[in-house]
Amino acid sequence: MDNNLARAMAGLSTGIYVLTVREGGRCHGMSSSWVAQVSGEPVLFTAAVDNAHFSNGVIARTGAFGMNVVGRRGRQLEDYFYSARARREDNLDAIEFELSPSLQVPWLKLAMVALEARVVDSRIAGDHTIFVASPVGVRVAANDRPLTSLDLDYVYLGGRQVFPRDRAGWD
Amino acid sequence: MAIEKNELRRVMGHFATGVTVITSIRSSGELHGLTANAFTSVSLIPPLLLICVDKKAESYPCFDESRIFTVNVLAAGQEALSRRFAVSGGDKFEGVSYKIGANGAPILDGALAYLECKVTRKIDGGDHTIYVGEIEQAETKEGKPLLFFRGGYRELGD
Repeated sequence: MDNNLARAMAGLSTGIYVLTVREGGRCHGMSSSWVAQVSGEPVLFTAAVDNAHFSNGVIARTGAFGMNVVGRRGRQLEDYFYSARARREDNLDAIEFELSPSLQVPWLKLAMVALEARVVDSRIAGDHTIFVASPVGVRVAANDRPLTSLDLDYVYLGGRQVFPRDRAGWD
Repeated sequence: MAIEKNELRRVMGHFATGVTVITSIRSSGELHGLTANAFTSVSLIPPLLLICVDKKAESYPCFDESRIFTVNVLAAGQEALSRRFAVSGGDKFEGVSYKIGANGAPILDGALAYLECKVTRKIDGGDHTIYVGEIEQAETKEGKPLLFFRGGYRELGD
């Protein structure tokens, strides 16, 4: 990737989320920052998920996923899902969670907010799939400041491309 | 289980985002710009991002017509610029410093980064349309971004 493009994409500020899926009793979570609200009426949001990621196939098959908003006090969630320990299919065995009431997708205990969402549209776009989803249930667990991509010392640019964050000029 | 609308609005406010001004140009040469925090990266290969544009926005027809747009990522301290492009009516570019980029859309002076895109796909998304853009050119400079969450502008450290 062109260096200017990489730096510009690193400048896009996002929240930090954990997308969760469940299929056949197996539960999985993945760190994600490529999420955006789409519509107010009806409420819709998108999540872009790597075509090669385990979660992608599960979301496509089940049509449902959980979206867990990570706050500052829940930062250990990001640390865990970014780590090598989480790179396996049943990676929620080390994390406290409950199943959401309607769609039975994992809601993480440490998440400040959790949504359960039904996929209403999906389109492959390059190396990711855009899932457009409608929330059907929410849980607000704690008032906290959302963690953002700018709080992290690394920048995810898709695939295995991760760069150290350059904070030059921030002071 | 039905979610109460106000509760859902409050929940969605927990999405922390950067703030951008999306600019474009009509075939008549008329410049358009709107403030948006509904955008995200989509793909690395090819480099894609998406923006969500309100179907009721004054600038909405421009995106279908021009098939190009530029995402201007606002820096901390550019809250006034965000507010200017968040309202309808008037010449939003009057008194604003900008240059025209390679794709014809304005690049705002002082923006932390800009990404010039051509529209590759549009997807219906309720009261908004999702435009997927392929990034053709981008530049960035040093500085802190402007943030938005829970209904207010924020800066890093808030």
